[in-house]
Amino acid sequence: MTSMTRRDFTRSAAAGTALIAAGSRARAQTAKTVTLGGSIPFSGSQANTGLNVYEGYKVVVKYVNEKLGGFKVGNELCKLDLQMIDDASDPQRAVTLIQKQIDEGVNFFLGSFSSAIVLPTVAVTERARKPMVQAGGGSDQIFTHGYRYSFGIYPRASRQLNSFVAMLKGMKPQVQTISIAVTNDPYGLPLAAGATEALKEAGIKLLETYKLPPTVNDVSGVLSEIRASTPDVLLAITHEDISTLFVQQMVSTGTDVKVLYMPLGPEIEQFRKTLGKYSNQLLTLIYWEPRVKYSDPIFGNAQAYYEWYKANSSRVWSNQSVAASCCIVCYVTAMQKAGSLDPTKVRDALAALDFTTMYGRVKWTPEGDGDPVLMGPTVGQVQNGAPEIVYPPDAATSKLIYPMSKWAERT
Amino acid sequence: MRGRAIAIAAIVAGIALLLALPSVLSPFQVRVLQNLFFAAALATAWNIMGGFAGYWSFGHAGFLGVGAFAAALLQEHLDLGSPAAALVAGIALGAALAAILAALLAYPVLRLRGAYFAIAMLGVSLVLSELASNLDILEGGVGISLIAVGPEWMAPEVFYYGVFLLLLAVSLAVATTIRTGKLHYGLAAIREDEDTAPMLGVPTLRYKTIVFVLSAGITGAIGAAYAFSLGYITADSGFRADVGLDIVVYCLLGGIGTLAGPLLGAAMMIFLTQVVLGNLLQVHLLVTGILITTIVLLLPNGILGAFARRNRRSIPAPVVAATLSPPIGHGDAPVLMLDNITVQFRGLRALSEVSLAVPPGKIYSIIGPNGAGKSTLFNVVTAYLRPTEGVVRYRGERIDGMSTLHLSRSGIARAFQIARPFQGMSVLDNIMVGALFGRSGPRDARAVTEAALRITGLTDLRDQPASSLPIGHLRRLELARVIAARPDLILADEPCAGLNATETLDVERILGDLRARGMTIVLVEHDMATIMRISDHVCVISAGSKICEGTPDQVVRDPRVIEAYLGTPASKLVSASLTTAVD
Amino acid sequence: MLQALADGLLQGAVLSLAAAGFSLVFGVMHVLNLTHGVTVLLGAYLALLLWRILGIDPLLTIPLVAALLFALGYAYQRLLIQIAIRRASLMSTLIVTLGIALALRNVLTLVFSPDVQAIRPSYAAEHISLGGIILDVPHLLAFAASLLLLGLLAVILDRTSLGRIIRATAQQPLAARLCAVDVEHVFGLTFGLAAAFAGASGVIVGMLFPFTPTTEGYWTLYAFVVVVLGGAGSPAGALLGGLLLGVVGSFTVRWIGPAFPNAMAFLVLVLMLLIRPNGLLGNAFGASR
Repeated sequence: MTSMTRRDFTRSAAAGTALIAAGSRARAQTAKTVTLGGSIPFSGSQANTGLNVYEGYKVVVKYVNEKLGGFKVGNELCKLDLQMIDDASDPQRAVTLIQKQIDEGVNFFLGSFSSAIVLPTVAVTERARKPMVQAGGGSDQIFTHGYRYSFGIYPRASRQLNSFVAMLKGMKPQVQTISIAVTNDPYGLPLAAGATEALKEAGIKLLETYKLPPTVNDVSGVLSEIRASTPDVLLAITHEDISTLFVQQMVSTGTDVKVLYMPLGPEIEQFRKTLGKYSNQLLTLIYWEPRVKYSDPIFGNAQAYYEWYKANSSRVWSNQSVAASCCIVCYVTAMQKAGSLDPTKVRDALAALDFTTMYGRVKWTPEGDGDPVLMGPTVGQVQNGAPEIVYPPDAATSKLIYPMSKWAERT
Repeated sequence: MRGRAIAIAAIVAGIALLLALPSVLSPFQVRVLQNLFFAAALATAWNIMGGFAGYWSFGHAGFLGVGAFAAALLQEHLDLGSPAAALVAGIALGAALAAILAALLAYPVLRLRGAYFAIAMLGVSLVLSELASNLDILEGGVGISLIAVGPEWMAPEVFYYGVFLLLLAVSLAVATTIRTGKLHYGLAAIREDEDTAPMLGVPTLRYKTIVFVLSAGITGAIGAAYAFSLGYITADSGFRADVGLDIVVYCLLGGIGTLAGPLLGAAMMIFLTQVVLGNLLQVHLLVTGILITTIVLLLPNGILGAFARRNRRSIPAPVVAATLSPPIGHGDAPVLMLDNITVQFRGLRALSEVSLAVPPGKIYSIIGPNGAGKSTLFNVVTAYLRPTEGVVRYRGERIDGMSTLHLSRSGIARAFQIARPFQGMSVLDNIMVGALFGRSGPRDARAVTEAALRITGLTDLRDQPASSLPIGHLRRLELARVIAARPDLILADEPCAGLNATETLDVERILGDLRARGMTIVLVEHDMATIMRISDHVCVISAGSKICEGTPDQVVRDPRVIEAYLGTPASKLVSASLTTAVD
Repeated sequence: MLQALADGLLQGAVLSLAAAGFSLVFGVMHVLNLTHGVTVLLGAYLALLLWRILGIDPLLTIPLVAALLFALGYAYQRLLIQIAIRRASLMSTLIVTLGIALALRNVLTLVFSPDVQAIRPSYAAEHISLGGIILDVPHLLAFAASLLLLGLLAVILDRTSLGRIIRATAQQPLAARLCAVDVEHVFGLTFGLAAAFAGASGVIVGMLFPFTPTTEGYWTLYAFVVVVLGGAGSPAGALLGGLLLGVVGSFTVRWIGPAFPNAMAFLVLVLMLLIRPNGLLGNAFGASR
């Protein structure tokens, strides 16, 4: 297995290892509490992903506080206090309760999930000049306001599929046609728009874009058309529940394609469990994988993080939970680098970060989203029930299976 | 007048206090209040339709969304120069579009009642929400960012505190204006009994449309401000279906139909969900759901609703007595003329070529055995039924086929056999509806009501809820309500049915009193004694034909009448004993 | 085109079954039960449990699920709805059912987590091809099951004494009371019956569609549309309404676009209310309000 250094620019990552907290030596010192505020959708349609994000936050906080005994900022020993509120997928509620946290003196914020909530809340934290690091909103519009205190782990949505299109371009036999199915929501539409651009440049013909409403119970109509037009590739940008439905109905109607890519779905364990053998060979967005070999300033390395996560969380890891953990790693590192808990100084330190974490390389664009090359996703494929990275070659854990075998021939 | 000055001073002081409040509260508290004003304004706007008129819309979220998207799309595609202009234009456009939508929907949708109306409105809001999500030009799928419109030096929560407070004030002002006027009585009549209301002259469709459009427009304006306050709107966050149902809950909790009820309900729920339960993870839906259920079960009329019933203070009676005489004088021409009326129901000939003329200022009774066709005749005269042949003329004008509303405006009133008072209103308010929508102006309505109360002997019962009255009083209330409209012609359908001897005499006295004031009365009645005592003219209908007409004495001795009633030819009876029995 | 028709009919049968319980309660008691969707999901989750823990094929769990939910539905009506109707107006009862729906949705989320679930027995992946039209086995089985169950409901209402008493009470509650019928008990039975069928439909829903506690709202809404389209109170009305809705949906996808089936469904709801609020077959129990 080749090493996991993403894009191989890890020289400056050495800085990370030196910052492991010294707190274990300072038993008797009383720690200063650093509160991390923010909201999570614990109910509503995003609740399942919201819980994943919450788990990601919790495990890191637990590690820092219990395993390391805290972390040192300047000469002060600090401990983390995670205070997430339930926004119930209601932006008005999120904004109001985050304001409360700001009033109470919370200086550092973590993001909710779903751009519709992240955008209004970021506006509030920006005005109060408190940083927000989030792994939940990729909509381009978050990053075009000129906010300086907002940091998103993911690159903006329109850039997230660049790696996928690059992979398609290089595949042999050549891929000629593609169709896109996308949900009309703030995540899907920019993704599709970005992909459409990239596909045009790559010379791959886009046959049809099928737009789906946010709640849908039956995609058989779309599938009939796909059977009729036989695209080589189907790109389905839908949330986990509809992705599950999609595959279910593709299987039961015998709708076969050579490549099926679903940014949300196959990377979630529940999805793979539900679909069993039919989840194999599906392609997806992979930001992280347990076998990656990144070093990390808090955990030491990604493996140690993964072990800790498994032991301390009741939910299986996912893209979102790991990205969420990364948010806190960034915070702690930035605070230590700044040597201060002043929000503006931490903000400056965050903006200047360029290091490796258990999630991978972290470096932000000037607008605050993840650098599309350094922090962009790899292309993963489910093989034997588990996700493998198949592109780019220097990060791959396995070889791409192409074309996808027919549903009826699955064993 | 001093009371008025104090009230104004209190309001001014209150406003000053509210405007100064943000400076002493934390931003979070200001935001909670901002959300409170938002919710209360929405609930108040909903209430003018739901509470006042009884039309519960489950789809006001649709108007909210229309306003939000109107504002968002406007500021995206049109540069209006300054942020303030964008805000004002957005609110104006949002209000206008929502109002126009309501106006377009009014005729079709307002024909529905109760649950059907509620669901139709829900359907409308869902259609709009889906269109916003899925139609590319509306951009509700990807979402629209809105520019910041507050002044730089002011914290946004303070700015929107002011904006929503202003919108709440507008909403309350509209609600208050409606509440204290003639419109409110009309709406209450519609809410209580929409079938009876037009018979009293209430223009139901017009009134419903007015409150529908107002309610929608205010909601649209709030929606626009809401979009700006969030800064980013998607179809989901703009057309908040849960908000649409929340505002119904606020009104229910606080007291539907009252002015302060929506405010109270909104305040309770906002404080509960955002302050008390703010930190509750994962169970706040559970708590909210149980709370809603419990409160609706315990206080079905809402908190203020329980009080409203008890504290009905009455307005003191005016000094100047009113006249109840019909406003238009009349000569000797017949008030009502039926010309050869024939009514044919498929196999049955209910009426055959009936002609009669009702002279002015008299009591004209229609009698006949059961099944003779009296009710059919009555229905023809009140335009409930179109005659197959023949013409009905009122004051020389044809009225067959005229609408109920038009008829009552022309001065015809109908008193029903089955009394249909407005149950939820007091005796006084019931009569006020008749007075306001009759032929007096709103200024005289109160005085006319008092006069009607006096004539029918109900003065002491004026504050009683109509639902508590026994049958005798209900009949009198029915008559009082009819009288208050100052009609020329009263059509009374068995006003003495089911009454005892004393109550019957009461009704007779009232009818006589009305005749003295110049009203014409047409009566259908079974009680022969009553007929004999008060009628000026009697018309006998049997098997669909008029068999006799004349004074009571003439009619009672007519052999055809005797035969019709008793089934045997007069010659077989002792006529003397018949006349003595009738005396 | 034929494929679209087939898809629509198959989908529609499920919608019909899922709306049958709602239709019964609305037709008999004039109550809009907003807890209906949650009841459907309860059936789905129960079937999921039985399938995961005991490995029983979901179709076989239908009787057990129906029985359990019958009891729950009866209790719900006697303990809560009855009080609500007596104390408050019919519209307020609607709000009560809404409150319970919210609370139950939260409970389901707590117990089962908000993760997406699906019941996939071994035959879930099969399909048959009939003259060029593809029909998948889960939908076919669901179609057959829906027709069977709707037929069963029709038989219950038409032929059994339970059905007779429900119908009589629905048409003339006052007269029924005068005939010494315990109307509240009958309403309880009605609710129980409705819940049983809702739960049965939930098993089928769980087999066809991935579900989370949040999807309950969708099932209540679509039940509305089916009832308004087909008419309340009768399985025939539910069948007609559901099939119609399914076909409208699939034709909308075919001819207008895949983004609009929901928009069209709600538009049909509104238009139907304006033109013929009692539905195509009317209220099965006579005059409605």
